[in-house]
Amino acid sequence: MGERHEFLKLLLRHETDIKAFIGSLVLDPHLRDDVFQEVALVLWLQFDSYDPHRSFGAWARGIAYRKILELRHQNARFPVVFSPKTIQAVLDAYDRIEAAVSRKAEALRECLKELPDSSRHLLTLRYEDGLAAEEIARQKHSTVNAVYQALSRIRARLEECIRQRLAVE
Amino acid sequence: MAPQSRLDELIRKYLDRQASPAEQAELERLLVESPEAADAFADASWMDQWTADLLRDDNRLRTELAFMEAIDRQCRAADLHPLAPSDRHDATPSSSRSGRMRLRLRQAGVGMVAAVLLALGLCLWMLRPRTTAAPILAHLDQVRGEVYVLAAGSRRPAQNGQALCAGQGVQVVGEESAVVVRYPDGTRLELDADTTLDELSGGEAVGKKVVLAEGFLRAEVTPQPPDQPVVLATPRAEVIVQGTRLKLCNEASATQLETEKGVVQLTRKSDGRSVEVPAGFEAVINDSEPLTPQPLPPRFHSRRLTLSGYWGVAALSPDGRTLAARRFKDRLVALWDAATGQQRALLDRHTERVTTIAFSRDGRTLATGSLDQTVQLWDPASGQLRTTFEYPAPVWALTFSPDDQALIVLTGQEVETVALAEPSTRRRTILPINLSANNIFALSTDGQTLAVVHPGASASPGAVSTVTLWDLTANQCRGTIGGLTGRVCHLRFAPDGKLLAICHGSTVTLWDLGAGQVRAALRGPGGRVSGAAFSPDGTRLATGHRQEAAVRLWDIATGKQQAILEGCMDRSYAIAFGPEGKTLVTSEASNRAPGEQLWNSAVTLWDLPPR
Repeated sequence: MGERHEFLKLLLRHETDIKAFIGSLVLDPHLRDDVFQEVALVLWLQFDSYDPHRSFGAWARGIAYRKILELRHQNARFPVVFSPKTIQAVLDAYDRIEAAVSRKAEALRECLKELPDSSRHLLTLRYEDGLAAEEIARQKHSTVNAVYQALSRIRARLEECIRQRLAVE
Repeated sequence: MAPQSRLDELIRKYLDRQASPAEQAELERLLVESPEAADAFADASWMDQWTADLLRDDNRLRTELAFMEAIDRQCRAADLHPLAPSDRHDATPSSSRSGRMRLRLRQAGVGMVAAVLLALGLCLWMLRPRTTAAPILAHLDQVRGEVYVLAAGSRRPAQNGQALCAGQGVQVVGEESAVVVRYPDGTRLELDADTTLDELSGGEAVGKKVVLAEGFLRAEVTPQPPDQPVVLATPRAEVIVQGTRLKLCNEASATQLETEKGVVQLTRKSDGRSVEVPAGFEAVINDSEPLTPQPLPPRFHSRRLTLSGYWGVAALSPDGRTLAARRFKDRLVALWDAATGQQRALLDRHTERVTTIAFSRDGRTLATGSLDQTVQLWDPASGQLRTTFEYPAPVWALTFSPDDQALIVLTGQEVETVALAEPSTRRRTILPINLSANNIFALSTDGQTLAVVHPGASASPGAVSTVTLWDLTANQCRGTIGGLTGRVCHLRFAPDGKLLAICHGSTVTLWDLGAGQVRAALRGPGGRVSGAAFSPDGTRLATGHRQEAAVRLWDIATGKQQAILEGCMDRSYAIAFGPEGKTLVTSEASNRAPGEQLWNSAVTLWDLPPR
């Protein structure tokens, strides 16, 4: 029970980071969740081999990287557009930014709270509900371009807010 | 190196799935050549995922806070504050009575009155009603339809925000009923129709426990302390959960578990044997099968066409090129090009809701029946109305005869066969029951047999249902199918008329009409089956589910699942296979869209995976 609890604790703490890595390569959110499930199962089965002195996130991403290559190899139509070399470059990048982004998460949480409701609603439609810009535009009786621009402005505002918060710390 | 703005544009287009192949290639080159570009890419994709997850958590928290405030107001009004006594004192605003009391204290002398009040307060405190013995464990949310709180052998209608105490239970009655049991730590139990949850227990330093006496639940359990797992019990099994998502179904014949996330421990009560069921596996505990977790079949996201705002009544032409679908709760039927998704025609001549749609076998005629007591025949190529037949009652079902020479129409108490070449030639059969929207029935594809769920079947959970088979040619009862546990919600004849699929609870019973016995029972933990469709060759069955955003495909010969089509809204409903069984038409619906009161619904055309 103790080992399982420790595993679950680590998995839940790193779930979003692992999903972010998988989601950067597997863009379909349903498929990304499927891959994450498969990765989580491998992580659990191989948890004995995890060195607690290493980053759990890096270990998990390494396994996710191999799983994606395996799925890509098994099924030529598996929707990953990047070559193995590019996937390796993305994996390396995730390892490099790990320390920096761990500080950003808390800042992002606070910055999201500061957004006006209309911006939050737009982000919710795009990210939580996973709607495409065309669908959002239809719902909001707006144009696709206007949706892209609005999202771009919100992202820029979030980036600036995070930068300021991290500068104060 | 490309300028930063170009890199940002490429990254954003890629993540929004808008990048062209050339732009993807350009981005790949940059990511491989420049670590800075790769870092920017990782940072942007990381931001997207964290934004999604934080928003989801925060939106949940906001809902939770609004929910708690609503409870607080409700409890103040009823003088049943759920807070602890010390909190209650702090939370209660000063009343005018306490203001007058302070004035008297000043007037009469603080010492004497304070002593008297102290003694009085002590007496009142000792004599206070002991109504808060049972701790509040959870609250009810999203109450829909007929939902009751069970306590001390009685039941009372449940309300949104109502507190659930230790020892209480919840009962959900009726097809459209549902409720969510929400714990303070975020753990959620979604209960579907005809489900009874008994004996909630738990509290500080004790793990949560519930007993699923009957029905279906979907649990989303937040991480629990290692020594206090959540225990979900059924009469046959115990499921021990540390933090995961799962579906659990308990019926008279079996307990079924499907783990969506994490790992859970499943124990068979009869012999104490335990197995671990990881994500992507299912397990069944019944009297006949070994307790062995089985991997779920492969999942596919192979939608070809989605028609938003449509629901339930739809048909695909025999050549697979035209999809006819009725708008949600509407009188309008639209014809769509199944390849391009272009709407070809809108059929708007019915004056009330359309209840049934069918193509003729040769695909040259489309028939629509409606509550307006008419059947209209259309040219599906042009969308032109050819003729209208009138009836004395709402039309509930219709089918073309196997040679397309006649149309068989089912109205309230009659089945009428119309010769299409000579419409004045009509043969009527008066049925012994009067069908209405409340009946579940199916007409065989040759129009010769009607299957009806016995109208006397109880609507309560645990009901045993009976299906009556009526020979429409001889106008006599062919027989009955009894002993079906759970509410029968859908019937469907196989194309060759030899099998009847009876959807009851989480089970589809395949009844062999020739042999007069059960051919197979298809059971899966997808929850209540909402509808089923046979493939044209009768070898496969597609099932939709009330509480699952997926459609399941079954191999009828083996009784095993072949594939899961994912990506529906909250519930799915299988309607019909396309020609050669290569496509499938389904309906799906959701009532959980943020800020939406009405259901979202859609009719979807899927490309099916090869066998």
